[in-house]
Amino acid sequence: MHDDAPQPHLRLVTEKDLVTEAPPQSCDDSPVPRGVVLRPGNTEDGARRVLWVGSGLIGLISLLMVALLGRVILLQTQPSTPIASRIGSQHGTRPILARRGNLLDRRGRVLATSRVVKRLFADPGLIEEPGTFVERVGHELDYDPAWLARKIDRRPHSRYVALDTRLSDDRIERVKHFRLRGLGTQDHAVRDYPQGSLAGQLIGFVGADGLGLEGLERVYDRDLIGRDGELRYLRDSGRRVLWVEQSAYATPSDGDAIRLSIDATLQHFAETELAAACNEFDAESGQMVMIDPQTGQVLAMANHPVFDPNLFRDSNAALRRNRCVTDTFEPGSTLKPMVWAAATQAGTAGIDEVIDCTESGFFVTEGGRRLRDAHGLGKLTWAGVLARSSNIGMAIIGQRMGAARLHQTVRAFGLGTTTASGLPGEVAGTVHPLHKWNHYSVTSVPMGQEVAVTPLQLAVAFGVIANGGELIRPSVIAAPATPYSPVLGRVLTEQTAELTKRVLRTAVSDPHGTGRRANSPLYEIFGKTGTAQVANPDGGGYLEDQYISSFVAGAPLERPAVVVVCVIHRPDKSIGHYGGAVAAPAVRRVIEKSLVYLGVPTLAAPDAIPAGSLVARE
Amino acid sequence: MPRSGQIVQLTVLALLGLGTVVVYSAGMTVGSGRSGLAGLMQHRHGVYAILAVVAMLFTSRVNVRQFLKTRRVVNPLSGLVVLALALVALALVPGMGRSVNGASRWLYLGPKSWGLSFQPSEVVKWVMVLAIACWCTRRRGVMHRITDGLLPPLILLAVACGLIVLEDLGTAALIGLVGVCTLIAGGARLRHLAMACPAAVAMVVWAIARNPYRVQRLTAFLNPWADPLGSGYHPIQSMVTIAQGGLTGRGLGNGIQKFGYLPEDTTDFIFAIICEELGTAGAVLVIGLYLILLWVGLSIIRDCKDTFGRLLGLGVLLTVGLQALINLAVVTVVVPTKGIALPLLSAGGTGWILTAAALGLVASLDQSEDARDEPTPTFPTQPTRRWLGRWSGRWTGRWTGRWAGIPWRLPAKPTTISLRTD
Repeated sequence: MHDDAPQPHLRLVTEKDLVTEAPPQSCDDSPVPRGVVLRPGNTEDGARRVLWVGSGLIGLISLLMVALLGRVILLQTQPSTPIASRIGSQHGTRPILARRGNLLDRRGRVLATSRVVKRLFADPGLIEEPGTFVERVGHELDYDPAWLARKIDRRPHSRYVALDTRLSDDRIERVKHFRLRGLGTQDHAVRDYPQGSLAGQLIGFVGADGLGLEGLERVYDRDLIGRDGELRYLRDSGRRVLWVEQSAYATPSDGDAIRLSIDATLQHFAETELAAACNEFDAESGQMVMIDPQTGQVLAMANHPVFDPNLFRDSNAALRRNRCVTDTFEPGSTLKPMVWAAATQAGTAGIDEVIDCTESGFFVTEGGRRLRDAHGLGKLTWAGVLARSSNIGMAIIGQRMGAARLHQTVRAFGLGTTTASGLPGEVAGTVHPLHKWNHYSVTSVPMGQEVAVTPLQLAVAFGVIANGGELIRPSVIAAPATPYSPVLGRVLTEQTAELTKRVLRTAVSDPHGTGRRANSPLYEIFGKTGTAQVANPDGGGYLEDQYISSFVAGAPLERPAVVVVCVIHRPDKSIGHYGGAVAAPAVRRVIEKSLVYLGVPTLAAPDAIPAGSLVARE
Repeated sequence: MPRSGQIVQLTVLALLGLGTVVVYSAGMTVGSGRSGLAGLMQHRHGVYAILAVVAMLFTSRVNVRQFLKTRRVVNPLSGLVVLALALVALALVPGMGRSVNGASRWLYLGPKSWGLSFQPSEVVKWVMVLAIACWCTRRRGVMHRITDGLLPPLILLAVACGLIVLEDLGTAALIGLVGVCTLIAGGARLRHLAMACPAAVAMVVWAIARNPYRVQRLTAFLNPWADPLGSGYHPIQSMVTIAQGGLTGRGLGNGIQKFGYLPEDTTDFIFAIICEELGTAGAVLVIGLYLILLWVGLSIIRDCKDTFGRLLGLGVLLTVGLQALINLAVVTVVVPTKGIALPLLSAGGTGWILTAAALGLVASLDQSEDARDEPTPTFPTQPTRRWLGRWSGRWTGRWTGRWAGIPWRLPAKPTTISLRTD
């Protein structure tokens, strides 16, 4: 204070700091004497103000930026529903078609296969000028423009009009280099049946959506259908494909191939002979089933008229039915071997017992029923009753057996229940329950009336006799997924079965046997004919002159390899109607050819085979 | 520890690098194998980035105070202001400017076939910052007054904004906002500026009402889902793009929305693409870089002792910060769509070069010697020459007096007095 040294709380004020003029309304209210103004610049007020204002503003901006960052994180972690729904919408997906599994015959020959074809379609909604569209498409791809125009005009408001469902290779090549708004191609799988109508009803067919609709195609749909793959690709806003997303590529897995027990060659033999027989006798329809009696494998299953699954759209539903399992018929005499064998095994009748079948061929049962044989047969042994197919003889023994045993017998042979073959639409047939049987039944059933069977059931029942007494389960699959024993149970003793087989052999080999027309120089065929009247569908009784001619046979006698059932519906009576006349020759030819094909040794040397017997009749 | 100025430059470098990469990524198209000049133009972003770095390195070595110290014709500032405004006006002339999306904001550089153009409003943005900083420093003693302190820069600001608002509301608003903030920092009174407020609001409302698309943008912002394929398309796609990235992002270059889904993906909406490709990390990175820029810049301002440096630095930082803020708000659909780029990230040669140059100036404040304020050159409130009336002191004094470099009064011999200041 008293010396000249500046004090710390004092500062040097230069003359510049002092302005004598009045202060310019400054807000400065620093405690300085009036008349002395401290200039803001010198006291760094201006610079400090910049700093404070700047700090405040930048702080505010920073806060807002952090808030926006929060908004970004919120958007990224919890987008609102309409936004979340748009995430990933820039992708398109395209299925990679999986191949449906093939159906093969037991030797691996293809019965049904799939391939991918291109379909040409138009989107009328995108067509700019319909006139020039059809003109250009017609010109470039070689179609009739008028035909195209008609197709499009039929559904002008549709977004998808198929122009060509199976583009030819040539057109595929051309359409690749031909771009036109409203025209597109699409892959789709089609099912081919390279064997045409072969086993058509058995195989069934596949609908446009790739699902099996009938036959084995439907039964094994789950195995046959593959799993479609998927291609996920990125599109730009112009819908152009940019690239395929590697991570989202789902490989398609093709369906499994299924090997059937059917042998295409045997099927062909059966079909041609069946067709020949049906045509020869002007029959309405016919079925032929061939099974291996030892394993139950169905080797052939033929229907006439035939059905071509390639053309299923043009067929009617009745034709598509596999009548070998869906339709029943009264077996008539073809049921006699089963009843005969059961009665013999039970001791109801001895094999050499003589039964009076009347000379006249007419017989009135105790119940008052009138029975008739085709011819008066006189006294026959029990074996002869079967070999000559006497209704009267069977009725007498049937009465002796009684209803309960008869019913049990018929059921034991698998009649009245499905064969568990797994074929679609298989029916159980008809065996009336015991309490519905009347006093006629014991005479009707032994000769094959009052029961209804499918051709397959008949083959299986006959298979019991052929394979030594065991009821087997038929199968159309060559190698079932889970191994199982085809044997369902024993019905006959081996001796009884052997005996029945030999008696049935006489029915064929005996010049008077009903099945003599099935006698073959190559193989020992045993079999039974059947001629049933067609039951009146309107109820009671039978239709006049309407017959079902059937023949069931096995061969060779020792260890039979095949059992063949042939059923021919409504042959023209003026040509022939007995099973022995209509069905037996066809069965013989099928057996001869099949066994040769299967390599079963013939009785005679090969050069003794009559010429032409192995050639299908045209 | 690098100096603050170096940090600013490194941050600019990082933003430019990120911007270049993302702009190339977002500009990815399929099957555009163009050749010749058009093909070369595809690589222009890299050239722009290099030019921007060169500009920044140059300006970071400039002594900005030369703007303050030099006077009259030597001082390029007034010329720059006039030139910039003239260019904006030129862009408005039909046929002269390049129109993008119906807005003629660009001027061709060289023949049209080169495809080179620049945005004069970008130039105005920075020139205004410089001019206002200069004015406030020189007039810092009188900034609290209207007529000779606040009004001249405010008029200049109004003229610039008025010219730009015709085509570009966003940039005009930004320039106005930064200008007003700088004026406040420079000493203007809030109540004086509040008086100008109605005029500014009226201008904005008029600008919105004048162009139907701005009204559309407003309604689209209020409810984008009303017309998701029309006016609401852009905001919706922007949100979808951000949301699509998720926390982790789809990976650099793997974005989808850039393939035609998100309009303006390389320019104004580049942030959405960053969020899509880099996820939350990308958003944090971008916002973090801006925050570093702002706060390191602020520390430079703090260490800088002179008003001009501080004002200039603050103006630049406010411009960058506010522009980034508005852009981020637009992209995240917090405010209606505007044509405002994300500084140093959105593709655009003019923007990159000038922004980098401006931030180079901020860095230069740190590098230059500590400059303290010169004693304020005031001019007398009592005019000495009365023959020109009340204007004589103000206007003649400005050019002839001390303002023009001639000492108003010979410096007196300092008289030393001790004063108690406490």
